[in-house]
Amino acid sequence: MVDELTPPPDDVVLRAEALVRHYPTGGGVLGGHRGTIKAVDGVDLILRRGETLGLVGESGCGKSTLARMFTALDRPTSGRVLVHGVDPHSLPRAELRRLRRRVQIVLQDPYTALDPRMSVRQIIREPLDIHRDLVPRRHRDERVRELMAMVGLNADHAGRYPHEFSGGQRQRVGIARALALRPDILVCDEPVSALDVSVQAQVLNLITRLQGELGLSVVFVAHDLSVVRHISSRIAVMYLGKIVETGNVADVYERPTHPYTQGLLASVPTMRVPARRPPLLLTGDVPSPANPPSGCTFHPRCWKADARCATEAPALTERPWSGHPSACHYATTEKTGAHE
Amino acid sequence: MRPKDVDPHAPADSGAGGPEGGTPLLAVTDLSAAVRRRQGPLPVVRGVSFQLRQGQTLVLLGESGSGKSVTALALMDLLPTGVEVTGGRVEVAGTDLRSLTPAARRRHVGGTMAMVFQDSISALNPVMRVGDQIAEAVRQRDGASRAQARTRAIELMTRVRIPSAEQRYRDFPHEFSGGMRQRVVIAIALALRPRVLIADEPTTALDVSVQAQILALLAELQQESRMGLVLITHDLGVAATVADRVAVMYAGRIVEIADAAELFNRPVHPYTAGLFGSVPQMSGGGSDLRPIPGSPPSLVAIPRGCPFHPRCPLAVERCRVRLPEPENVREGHTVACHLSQEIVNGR
Ligand SMILES: Nc1ncnc2c1ncn2[C@@H]1O[C@H](COP(=O)(O)OP(=O)(O)OP(=O)(O)O)[C@@H](O)[C@H]1O
Ligand SMILES: Nc1ncnc2c1ncn2[C@@H]1O[C@H](COP(=O)(O)OP(=O)(O)OP(=O)(O)O)[C@@H](O)[C@H]1O
Ligand code: SF4
Ligand SMILES: [Mg+2]
Ligand SMILES: [Mg+2]
Repeated sequence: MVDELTPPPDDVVLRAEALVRHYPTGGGVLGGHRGTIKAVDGVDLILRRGETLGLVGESGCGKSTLARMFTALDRPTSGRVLVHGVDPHSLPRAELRRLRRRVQIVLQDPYTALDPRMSVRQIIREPLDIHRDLVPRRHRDERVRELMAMVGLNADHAGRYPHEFSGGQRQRVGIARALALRPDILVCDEPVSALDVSVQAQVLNLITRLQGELGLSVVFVAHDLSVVRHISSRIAVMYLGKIVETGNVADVYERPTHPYTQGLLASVPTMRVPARRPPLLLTGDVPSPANPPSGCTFHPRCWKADARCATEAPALTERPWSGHPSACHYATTEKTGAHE
Repeated sequence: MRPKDVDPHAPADSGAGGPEGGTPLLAVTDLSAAVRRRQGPLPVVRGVSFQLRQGQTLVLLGESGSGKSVTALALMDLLPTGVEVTGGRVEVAGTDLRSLTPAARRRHVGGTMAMVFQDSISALNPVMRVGDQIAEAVRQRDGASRAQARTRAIELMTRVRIPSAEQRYRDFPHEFSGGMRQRVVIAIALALRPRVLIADEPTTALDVSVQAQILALLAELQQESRMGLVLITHDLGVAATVADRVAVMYAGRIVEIADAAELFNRPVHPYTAGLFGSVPQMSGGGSDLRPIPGSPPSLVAIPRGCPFHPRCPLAVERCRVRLPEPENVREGHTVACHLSQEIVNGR
């Protein structure tokens, strides 16, 4: 693919710099008290060419908000996203459109993401009809057939409507549409969460295969930690709008150092029948992002927290005992007991 | 209705592997249910059999549409209009439900079993205080006075580990997190003092850390009261974590039932094995996923013969024409597959 934009200085295709997205709350039509929801609250992150970065965290931690900013569907409150070194929001419209093509998104719900009144051919073709210079009109239907074959759909079914397809097939339609503009970055926001187990595996295999064949760089958002482990090479764990730990998948899963990551991983039920029930590390609920705790936002739920944690926010950096970046003052692979 | 090659007096499922013996709390034999249509009934649950003992956890595991909720609602005698039981026997604490008048049946079921419905969290009354919703269930069960019901509701809130129960009694559902709301729903079910609790996907809408808390709570409650628990899930990890016994459902049938360790270590049915190959492992190891091809069948087009045959890697001619009946492959391990003996022997 020809890169008409400034070539990136390194292998980083996507970069988040001090990214913040706050949503105003309250007030409404009557005005009154207004607050903010700190959906994304200072995220620095990179995506390297050809890798799959897994983004995990519990509901409401800001994954989808981050995904939308990556694809320039949403504007940051502050900070910026660089796509191939360029801030999309700094570009004139025509160039913004061209840059947008290169980052496409696949959404969670194949039932609502597709327009029920459009045939699958129209759904997949639509981006090509909008970005008209990419494929000449007379070749577009052929390109649709190609895309359908690529995602494992029978191209003869192009005239059918979404309701005639199963959940897994609809997700394939969503992926084909996202690939229509030949993006090199694919952001998948919970692409398999709504699918049955047996079908989920098919879609995961498809994403893995396409990534290899097309050399895609992928951000894979999910709350299912085993799915993320399977598909990602690197992972970032989010809590209340911040990344609390990041590193290679094996490092983070085998040697988590942030207490939140440790608790989260310990909560995942595995397929082994346990001899006895493991202790619960994470108790209580995630606090509201409208009013996050002071200092380390995890401190009210943390078994290691001390006075320092309540006042001083830990930075996401590599620490003496962490091996990879961890936003905990007392990052260590030791799971229990207080710090020394 | 029983296959010829199986002893007609032996129960299809012995309910082995429970913590306690004695009369099962729940004995389900060949239960069938269908959706009523003008073109004739459409079967959705087809010959389901299992037993549940005191203190035992049975997991009904299956993908969406496999008939888990309809099975549960049939046991509770709470099927929605349009869906009806078409055959089989349900014995609750030794009493055959068919032998009772509708009113007596409702009383017997209501006095023995309680259910946490699949969408209970959203079904809480948004304009009624959570404590009052629990108290109402108490009054319904025990005919208690308002003051007694209130005291008992606070006890129940404490029992499901809602912190500061007394203060939170007056909260409304929207002031509770998802996990706390699920605790309220469980408290409402416990108000009925059930000997059997049926929980339909009680953690599906929750985050993993909250899921772990709710599963731990259910296990603790069960320890305290020795109630039987039927837990419905599509999550294999949840099944492995909580189950004493697991029944795998596909297209309205139990295709395999066994003690949890046996099922997870030695699955026999090709569908069960296929599910295991579809799930990424937390332990990593980079094993490839081996998905089952195709997708679960739609009700209106359940394949002839073995309903799994179009997706089955082992299918042979007889799978296409004849429905396999459940057979014991080992003590307490029942499989509905024409090739179950070959699979067991060939291992
Ligand atoms: N348009 C919006 N207006 C106001 N608040 C919003 C908006 N979008 C998201 N939020 C809030 O921002 C926070 C982060 O939401 P987001 O959807 O990014 O979380 P998520 O991690 O994707 O969660 P989930 O796992 O449930 O999808 C939540 O508290 C959410 O309620
Ligand atoms: N009230 C109803 N009217 C018509 N069909 C119904 C009704 N309830 C259930 N069904 C059908 O019966 C079949 C079994 O449904 P059931 O709800 O038991 O599945 P399930 O295993 O609980 O699935 P899920 O995991 O999605 O909850 C489905 O195909 C469903 O469409
Ligand atoms: S910084 Fe403190 S509160 Fe935060 S995770 Fe580490 S020990 Fe816990
Ligand atoms: Mg989201
Ligand atoms: Mg259900």
